[in-house]
Amino acid sequence: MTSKISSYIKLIRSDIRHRGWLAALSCILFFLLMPVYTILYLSTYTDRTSDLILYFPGLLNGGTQSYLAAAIAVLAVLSALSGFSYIHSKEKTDFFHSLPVKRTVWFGTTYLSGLLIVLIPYVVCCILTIATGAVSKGMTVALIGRSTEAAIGGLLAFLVLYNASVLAVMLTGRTVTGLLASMAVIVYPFLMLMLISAMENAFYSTLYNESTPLPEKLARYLSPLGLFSALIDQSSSGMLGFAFPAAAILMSVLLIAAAVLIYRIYPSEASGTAIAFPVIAPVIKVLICIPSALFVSLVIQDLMMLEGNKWLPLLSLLAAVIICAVIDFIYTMDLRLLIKSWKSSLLSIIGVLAVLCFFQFDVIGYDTYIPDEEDIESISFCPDTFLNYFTYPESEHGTDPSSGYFAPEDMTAALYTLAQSGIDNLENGLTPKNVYDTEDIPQALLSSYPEAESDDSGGKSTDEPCFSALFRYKLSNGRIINRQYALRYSDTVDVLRELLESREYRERIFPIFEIDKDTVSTIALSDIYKTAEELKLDKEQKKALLDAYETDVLNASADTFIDSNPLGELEVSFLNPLLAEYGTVTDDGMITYDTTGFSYYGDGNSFVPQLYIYPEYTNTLALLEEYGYTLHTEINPEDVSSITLYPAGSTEEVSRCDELIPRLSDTAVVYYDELSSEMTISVTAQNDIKILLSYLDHYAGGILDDGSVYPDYMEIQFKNGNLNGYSLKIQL
Amino acid sequence: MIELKNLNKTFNDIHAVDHITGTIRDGMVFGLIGSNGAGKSTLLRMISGVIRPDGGELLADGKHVYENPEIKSQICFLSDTPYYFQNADLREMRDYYAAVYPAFNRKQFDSLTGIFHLDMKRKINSFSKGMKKQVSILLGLCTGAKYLLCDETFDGLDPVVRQAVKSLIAAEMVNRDFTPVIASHNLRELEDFCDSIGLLHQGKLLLTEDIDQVRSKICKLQCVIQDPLREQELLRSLPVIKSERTGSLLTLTVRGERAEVMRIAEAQDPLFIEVLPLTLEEIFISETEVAGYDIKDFFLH
Repeated sequence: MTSKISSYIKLIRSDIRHRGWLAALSCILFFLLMPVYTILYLSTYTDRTSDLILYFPGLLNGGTQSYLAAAIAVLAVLSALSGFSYIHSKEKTDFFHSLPVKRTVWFGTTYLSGLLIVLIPYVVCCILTIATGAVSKGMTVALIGRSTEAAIGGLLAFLVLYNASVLAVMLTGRTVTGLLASMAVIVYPFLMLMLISAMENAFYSTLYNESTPLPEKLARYLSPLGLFSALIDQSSSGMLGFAFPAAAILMSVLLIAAAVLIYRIYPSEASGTAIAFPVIAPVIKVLICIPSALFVSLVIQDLMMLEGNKWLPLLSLLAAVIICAVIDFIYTMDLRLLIKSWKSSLLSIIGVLAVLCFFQFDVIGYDTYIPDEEDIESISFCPDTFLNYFTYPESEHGTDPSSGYFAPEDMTAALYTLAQSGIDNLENGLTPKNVYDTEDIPQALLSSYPEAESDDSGGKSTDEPCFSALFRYKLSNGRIINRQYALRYSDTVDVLRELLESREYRERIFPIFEIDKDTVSTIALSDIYKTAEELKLDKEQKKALLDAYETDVLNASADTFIDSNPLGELEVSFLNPLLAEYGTVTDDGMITYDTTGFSYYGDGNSFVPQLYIYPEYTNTLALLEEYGYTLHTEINPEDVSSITLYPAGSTEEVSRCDELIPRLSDTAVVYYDELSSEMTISVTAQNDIKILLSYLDHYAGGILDDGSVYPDYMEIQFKNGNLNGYSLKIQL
Repeated sequence: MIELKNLNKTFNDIHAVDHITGTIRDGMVFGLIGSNGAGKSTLLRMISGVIRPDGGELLADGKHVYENPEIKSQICFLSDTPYYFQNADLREMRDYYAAVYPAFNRKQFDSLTGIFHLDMKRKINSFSKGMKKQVSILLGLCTGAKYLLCDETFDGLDPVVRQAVKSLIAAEMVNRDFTPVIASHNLRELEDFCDSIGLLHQGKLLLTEDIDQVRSKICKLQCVIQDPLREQELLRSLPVIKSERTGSLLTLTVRGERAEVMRIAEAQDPLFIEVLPLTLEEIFISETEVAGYDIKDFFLH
């Protein structure tokens, strides 16, 4: 046994010696990208030392240094290819496989030497990097722990790609195809799963992904590329956990088991051929061609900014033909044999068409699906306009309000009917994807508008706003189904009015009811001047003001929120328990919260603006007056130094200014960009300012205002230096 | 002894080895001859355990070879294009062989490289083709393996080295249990070196016998018989493989012992008669011709 082990060690040492170039490359790359880079990075690091924990671990695995991540990936592939590519050479196969050593031993020793060649330099450079950090900025136990976690993440990430590449080498008979196969094995599952999401996004109009879609989540666990990326990201941010390492180890075991099995039966005559097992060549071709063609065509469609999916079939077929030809060429290296395997090419093309048809004709009825009303417990309703109108304490950390916009259960029937109208709109061609495209209103839908008018070009137009709305169906079994629909204003306003009649609904959706009044630190008031002024109030006064505001919100008529113009708004800061719950407390006692698209660093206070004050809010207005604060309802032209007006972009909209421009003085500067059909009007004269201000009749939009009512925009430069923007409509 | 029992191997559509049965006895030089693509290399690669047979059985000293390091340590395969590590010199290759072949004789190797004037420190990649073949043979001889499988290893060696290698092999056979198997196209070389031969054609083993037996079983008869009826009678009474006529001289390649062929021919009262032994090359051509591998086909087409 000892002599056997000694013999294995000799083989490993010999293999490492013969791949000295790779060992040297690993040492150089890791040395430059880890300790040397870290020295340079830390020499220019100016943030707090305590924040180093956010960045330093990433220096050990590429989390904050993409070149290092790329180096790990490249070395993994190179190590696998250089180690096992001898099976792609007849001379080398004859030499190695004729020696009195079992194939499994060859595999094991080559595999281990490939690991050691890269991992020894990596581990050494990790230690050097940590030592560099310790000398330069000091090292805490927590930072060492996080750095170790990052290094483990890097090791596992390497292992996943290395194993995937080893399997790829076993499937091929040429090193070049081995390299291509490595890419395929690493990327293919990721591409497949991402393609499902991409196809759903492209074809399903009612699709709404509340969080990362399931295929994309799976891609992070089931594909080498996804796992590599997740391991690097998660380990460098201290969130490695158990799932990703377990998935990495499981995937590695499966890949290696498959590689060993194939290695044992690897036909020596496969040397020099593209695929080691010719029987699977057409299968691989079809499996690669179908998703690749669709993926490529989706990417082209995206890059060319082509609207809709009308070009997708043509692009996909073209891509399928080209990809088939490329694969056949890789297989045969002979242009004359490109059409030899026409059957698999035809099958690939049919497969592409079948997938396109599946999504295009919505075979599973995704878009038109609505759960049975009896199965629905409640429905959440959130038109896009809510996102402009409401700001919740949760908005700061990227989640929905605690209510989830769910309406009381007795409102389900009304919302169900509204959802059905959304499906009707969809069948008439009005979808969430084209709902804001005012120049492309489907004819089928226009015909249902009694007020639609013919324009000069023979087309029809309508002034009724349409918008997209998200519906969440909570089923009695606990499942939640999301759909988004395009809705017409007239259909929606009646339902919303009905919803707003409910006190319970108001308590759910108005942000004031989420604020703990006892923890309020400041309240600011803003009016048409848009200058937030902090109210000098004591705790009781603040509480009284917010109580009054709550009363007004509950007592106001539904039409107030839909039609009325607010006079101003309250902006409230309060200690938010949710930030402490979701975030992490730093060494200096601050709270950090960081997720995709949202980040927070502060003392745990949340800021909730947009608590609009309407003329009907008598209690609030009275208290404000009592406290000595009055709201401006108009802008005094004397306070304004200049105004720049940006009429809405389309030609039709710009023509509305034809009447306005002659009324302005000679000092007004009118600039019209014919290329973009955009006009800019700048005024400084008092009379001109007065004229423009006369069009400003509102402070902010209503609860269903999608921006179409007030399409124009102006920037007011106040004499006190403030510059604020306002929406308005230049009336004819 | 190496036993081939109904051995079969197909690559894609090519039947490289077609149900071969035969034995390679110990202590003899076995020559493997055959047309191009006959399956010689494939057979050697199967014997050395590089390729797994599709069917049949391959035993060396009664044990299966494939994935059997114990028996593979008794077999050394010298490929027609030997492989050496990048930038390796003789010492490195020697050490590597010594690591995998337990009976590798370092002293013998060092001594032989001196005799063959091969610089131990020089990189093998800088050697000529013939020198690389010499290295391959020396490494193979020093492994201590019982069976040395040489795939056209002698091709490319100069006559002096070739003779030296033959002497080395002969010495090894005297000194230890050693059985070289030599595949070659150079039939003249095998003729005076091999004890027995195997003739392969299109994956099939046409014959496998001691070279003396082969020679004794086939001969060339040249005769002149004036009476056409007697000549026809002669052709009927002999197992003729091939016949040619030049004027009145009839040349026949005939299966059978020389004395027996002479007796039958003399019975037809020839004007002239002579029975000659066949060279290995002539035997090869005759046997493969019977199997459909006719030299005339190359010219007719």
